[in-house]
Amino acid sequence: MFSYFKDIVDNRHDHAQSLQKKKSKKIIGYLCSYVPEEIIYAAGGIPIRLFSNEESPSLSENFMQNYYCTFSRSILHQGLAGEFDYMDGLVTAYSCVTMRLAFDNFQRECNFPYTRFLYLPGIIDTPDAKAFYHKELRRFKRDMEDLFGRNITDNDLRDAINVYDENRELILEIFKGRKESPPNISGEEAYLLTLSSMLTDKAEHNKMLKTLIKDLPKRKPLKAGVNRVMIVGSPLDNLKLLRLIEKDIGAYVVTDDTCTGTRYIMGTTPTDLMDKDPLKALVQRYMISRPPCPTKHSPNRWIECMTCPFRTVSCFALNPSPKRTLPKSLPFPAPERICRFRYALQLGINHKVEGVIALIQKFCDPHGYDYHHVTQAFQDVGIPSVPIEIDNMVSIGQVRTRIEAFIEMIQPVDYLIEPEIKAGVEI
Amino acid sequence: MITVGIDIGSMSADAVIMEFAEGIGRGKIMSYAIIPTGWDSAETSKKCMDLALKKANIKFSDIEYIVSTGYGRVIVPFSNKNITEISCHAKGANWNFPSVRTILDMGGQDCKVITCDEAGKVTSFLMNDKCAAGAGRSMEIMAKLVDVPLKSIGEHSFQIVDKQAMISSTCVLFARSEVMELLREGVHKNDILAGACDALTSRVLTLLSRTEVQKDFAISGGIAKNIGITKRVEERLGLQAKIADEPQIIGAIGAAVFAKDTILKQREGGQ
Repeated sequence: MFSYFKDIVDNRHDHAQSLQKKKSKKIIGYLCSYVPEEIIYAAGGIPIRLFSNEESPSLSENFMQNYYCTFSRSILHQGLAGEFDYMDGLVTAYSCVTMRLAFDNFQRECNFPYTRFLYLPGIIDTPDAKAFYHKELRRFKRDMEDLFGRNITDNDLRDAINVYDENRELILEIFKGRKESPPNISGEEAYLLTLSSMLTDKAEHNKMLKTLIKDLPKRKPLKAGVNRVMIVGSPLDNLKLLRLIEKDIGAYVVTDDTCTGTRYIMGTTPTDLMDKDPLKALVQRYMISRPPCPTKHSPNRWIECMTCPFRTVSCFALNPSPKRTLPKSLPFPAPERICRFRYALQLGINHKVEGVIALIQKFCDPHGYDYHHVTQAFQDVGIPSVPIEIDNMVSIGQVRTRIEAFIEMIQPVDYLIEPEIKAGVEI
Repeated sequence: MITVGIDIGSMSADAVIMEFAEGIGRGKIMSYAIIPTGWDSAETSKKCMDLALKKANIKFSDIEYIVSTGYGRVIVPFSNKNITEISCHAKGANWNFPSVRTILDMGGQDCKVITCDEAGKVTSFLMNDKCAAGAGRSMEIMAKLVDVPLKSIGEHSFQIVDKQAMISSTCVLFARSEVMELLREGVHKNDILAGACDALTSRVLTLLSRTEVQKDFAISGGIAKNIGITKRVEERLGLQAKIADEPQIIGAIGAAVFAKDTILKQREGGQ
């Protein structure tokens, strides 16, 4: 049932090359989930996300020291080894410095016909940031028009956005079944859906998702009475870890907060803006609707907590409030979007998780910073967590012991607290 | 009933045979065996088991249930069940000292801080990083380097001749070259050992500082035999640690107790 999706993930480059040849589509690689793929798609290209593999990233050694995460080094290594040579371009948006470094080396050392670094502001939910990014996307659209040699009309953009929104909705519909006990699909299968979605033509993917939705109820249900865990942390593209958790140790990953998983499909594009200016709608989707990545935290996060629109029911009703009082004038307008921790907590509670596994890429600063706060939010409602440091060459022995001991430790959480903190987003 | 706990660690393999009186009872240790793990964990587990059986003077068929633990837990060919060493150390420490809530386990290749409840169930745990700094292996390397038997490191480390040496490298291999440099400078080996013990203690304490150490606090694992470390940890924490007569077999004891619990549960289920 999942063979179509698994095939794409396992043979991603063969698949992309066949799209390139058979359908004569331009393939544009991208490094970060903040890249507005819709614009590339509207121009007639296929955006393909680059992932790490398990090879030792030896070729990147000259450019990036080994105190950078292996996720970025592995991607650079593959690029230097010529694995991405077939691509017609490479794009990234500014999220973390390490990825920027990898991208910079790509631009210098690899011969892509087109490369583009999108200037995504660090603080993304202010009117100024939105105006800036709107300009940047207009420039990017012009770039795409030059590269593809055609005009991108607003209708092209709307069509692309509709395909993308449909894709998100379809995956989300399947993911809703993960709230059940037992979940309708395993964590590995869930990741297969999101990962494959980043590696193929979304319109094709949508068709296959629709078939899957039809077929899924006919399948034999998964084993009942198994512990439910959630994954938070760095980009996860290594299905080996999920197999370790689900097959060897025996616990279901029922939800996650990673940009290669659930966060990728969160947040639809606002329809009211779409009619007027599709690019504005895209800005709104990437900056506000989508839950942020830890590189896009507000630097005044404590003020964000104090002015949280969900304050009366937020995690900080359970958490001790920030120690300082609110200043008279705020350095920025009150946030429009939900905070990361509130989002992750809500997701966990809605899926009735019993424990949180924080999979953090070794040397990943943004997620290292995040770890304390996100696990604290869970701790406050009585959900335990365990930190697991990973890199692309996962050494299974110690990781296995840690996760297994954690699964032996966790027990069903008393979900009586649910009504009190149920508010905010429907996830 | 007779149960066995077998702990295949990274450096030593320990088997414990325990006897539990029918009904309620704390149970007692019939015999135990400790041998180096070597390269063939399956073969080692058999050897270790035979040794313990011989000491207890019983046959293999007398045993009702076997639980394996440690890094090699999945390879033990004759075990009925395997449980991680983290759960087993908590259980074993609880069996030895029922009041204990915080356990520091210092083994051959890693170091763990475990907190548990009154039943010996783990409530949270912390582990050191992947490398062996802060573990038994580093102590072994130091002992070999200055030619002091492993057993008497502790005594030597308290007989400081001049002043305690500073060893700042956390990596065992770097620390090794640092020590060689010190030896060349003519620093006495006692001072070096004092420095090595102190450095290891500091690493362990950073791990301990990330959790709330309860007053009833136990140290288990091979390093618990090294007074050079345990005394220093106690001093810095200001707490008296509880250390079993044979701290190296705590994990195996825990496994044997788990074996008993499993039998009792199965019997309940059967009735």
